[in-house]
Amino acid sequence: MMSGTVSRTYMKPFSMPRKLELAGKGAGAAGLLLLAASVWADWTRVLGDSLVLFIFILTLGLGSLFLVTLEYTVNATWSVPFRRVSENLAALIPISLVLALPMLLGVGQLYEWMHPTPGDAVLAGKSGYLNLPFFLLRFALFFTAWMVGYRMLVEGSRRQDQTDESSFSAAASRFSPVFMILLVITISFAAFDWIMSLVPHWYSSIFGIYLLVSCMVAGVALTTFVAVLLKMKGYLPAEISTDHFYNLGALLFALNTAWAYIAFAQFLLIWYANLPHETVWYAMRARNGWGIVSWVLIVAHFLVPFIALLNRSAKTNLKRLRWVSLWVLGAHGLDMYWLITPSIRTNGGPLTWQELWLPFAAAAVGLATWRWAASRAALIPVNDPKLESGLNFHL
Amino acid sequence: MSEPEQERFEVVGAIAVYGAPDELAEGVLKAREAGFARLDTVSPYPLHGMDRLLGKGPSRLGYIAAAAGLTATIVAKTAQWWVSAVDYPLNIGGNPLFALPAFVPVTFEVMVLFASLTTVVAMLAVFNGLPRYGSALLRSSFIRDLTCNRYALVVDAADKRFGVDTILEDLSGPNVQAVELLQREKPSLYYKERILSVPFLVLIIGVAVFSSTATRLAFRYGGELPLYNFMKHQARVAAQAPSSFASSAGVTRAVEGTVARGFLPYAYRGRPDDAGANMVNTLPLTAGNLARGRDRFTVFCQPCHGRLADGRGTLTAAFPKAPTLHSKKVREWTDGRIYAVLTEGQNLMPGWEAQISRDDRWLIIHYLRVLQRSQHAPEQDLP
Repeated sequence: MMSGTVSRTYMKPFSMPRKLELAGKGAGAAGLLLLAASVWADWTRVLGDSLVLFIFILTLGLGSLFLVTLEYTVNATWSVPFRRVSENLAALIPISLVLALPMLLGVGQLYEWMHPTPGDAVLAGKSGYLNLPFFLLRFALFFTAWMVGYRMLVEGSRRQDQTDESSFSAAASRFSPVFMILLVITISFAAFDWIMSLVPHWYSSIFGIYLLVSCMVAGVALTTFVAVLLKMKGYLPAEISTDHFYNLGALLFALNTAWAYIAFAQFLLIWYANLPHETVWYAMRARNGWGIVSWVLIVAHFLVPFIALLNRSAKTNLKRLRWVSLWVLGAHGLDMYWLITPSIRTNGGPLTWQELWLPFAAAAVGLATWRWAASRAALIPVNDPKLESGLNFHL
Repeated sequence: MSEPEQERFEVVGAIAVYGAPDELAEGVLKAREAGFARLDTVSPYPLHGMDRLLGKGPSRLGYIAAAAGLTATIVAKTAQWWVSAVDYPLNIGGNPLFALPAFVPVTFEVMVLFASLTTVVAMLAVFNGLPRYGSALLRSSFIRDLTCNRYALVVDAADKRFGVDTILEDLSGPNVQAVELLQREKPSLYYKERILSVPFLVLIIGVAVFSSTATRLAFRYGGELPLYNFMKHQARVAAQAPSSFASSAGVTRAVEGTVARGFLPYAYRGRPDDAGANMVNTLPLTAGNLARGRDRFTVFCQPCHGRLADGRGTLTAAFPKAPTLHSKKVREWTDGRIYAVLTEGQNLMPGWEAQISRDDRWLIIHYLRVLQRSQHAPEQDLP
């Protein structure tokens, strides 16, 4: 289809510019140094923080994979030129399997249900679900499901680049709706297992949806950020116009508002009923300095992106999209930290220098994953049957 | 076109009809090159990218929606604050009266409703020209084709390049299947003959009369449609009626010897002097206790005995005048003696045992002592 344009950069695998590679290595080195210092200062604190890093990286990967399934499910055309970006970022899922190690090794330290107080009727009642063998089994099931979807959609799409088999697109369109349902269920239960069960007496039935929406926001924000950078540096076809980016911006705006909606829905019901066994979770996030973090989260994760993206022209402004998507990524990181850490510890201050290694580590992991994944295929799905109409998309 | 016809109508634009979207797009570009600025297109379905081709900026409707949404947000928040925190404060589950989180859903709904309604009305009124109920395009002989398989370029007569005599030639081209002037009735005639015409007004008034009459009759003869199963309609046992439950009475009697909280039995019934001799006010004289005593005094005593307990109450008209409580007798009574009067009543005053709890009665006495001292300060109180 596009055989006359083989020399263009987006037809070839991505090769990392030297500066970016150095930045990635620098971030990795700085992260390791700070990590070592933090471990030396208080290793239990690092255990909780490494759970945050695992969930943060995993949600980015799952959100990106969700975006891919969404495209196949609704048969979208505008997003086809961006799909390879999301596919490459979905490689964060297998990477996060490594980052899950601290959680699996420190499960006894992290989770109260591992050693319940004798006579605790609530935990005794939940012990059929919250026990180590079943916990590990579910962990294996979740990752198996995600890896099946990853292999099917991402590896299949890369294979299509070589073989030009249009049958893959049809198969992916049949597979995606089913896999999307599976994603919703597994992400919900992963949220229950890994985050909500940190406070095992507390429950919120919307909690799974909260993490699901967080995943989607994170996936769209990361895809937008990377796509905007690639476009600005000239790695993407000229046909990709501000109309394409308008859709990414609109999706980011809508999902970010959906996040606020879900987060507020959870808060409102608990605040209104005002029952001690429910409010305890928010009390942890209102005291010992965490109240400020909660307010910052509202402003940074809702108000700022909402106002910054409200105007139509903002969604077609690449510079605006670049900082807003990066901002939302940061806010999502704070959200994950806020979601997890107060459940583990409320003493010693919400944020100290011991958390400094997290952003460096996240940046290094992200760059390394991108380098690994993007070097394996072209930057757009060159043989996708919908690519032509996707490139010619206009609002 | 006959002479009177021409007087009735005015030219508001012209159209050029094309057979395919690409030809229309070329036509748009040519027209813009020729210097036309007020252009529009008509097609059976939305043509992506046409707005940009026409050189149109983003719609101004967004600003109207934003202004309406902001207004509704402020109005809804203010209204809820006024109703729930100022005009009719209700304690709901111990939450604050101005319960910001609880107001968010209503504010959100009002904002969405008002913004969307305003946007639709603004679209019709500002951009589509209400109260005119049709576009000049509807009078075109090509309107059937334009909703089916033809595409048209529309030039507004307000365009500077527009000339009634030259426009049809300007719009012609190799791909143009037809050109036509768009006409509509002159506004003066239109409003006089259409809007203010008898049939139209009869229709509007008829619809209004019919729908209100039908609603009224439906409520009158269709019966009440209860929204809820109101409590007064719910099945229940009347207080005094026999019941199959427990003690076979509608309201179960208290178990023998039950004492309500704060209402302990009174030991000196009918013997106020013994009460005066033996009962002592043991509640501490704290600011909180005095405030409570004052509060209860204001509720139960002040209406007859007055704000200062001087017998000048607010209930004066047909009500017997209550005595002052600053008399030497009352001042020299012990707390226990006053307690006996409060509990059992005296002369016209009923006993307050059932209404005021034991502790509150003692606190009222504390406050009464404050009032007495304020009117009869002993010498050592003076500086």
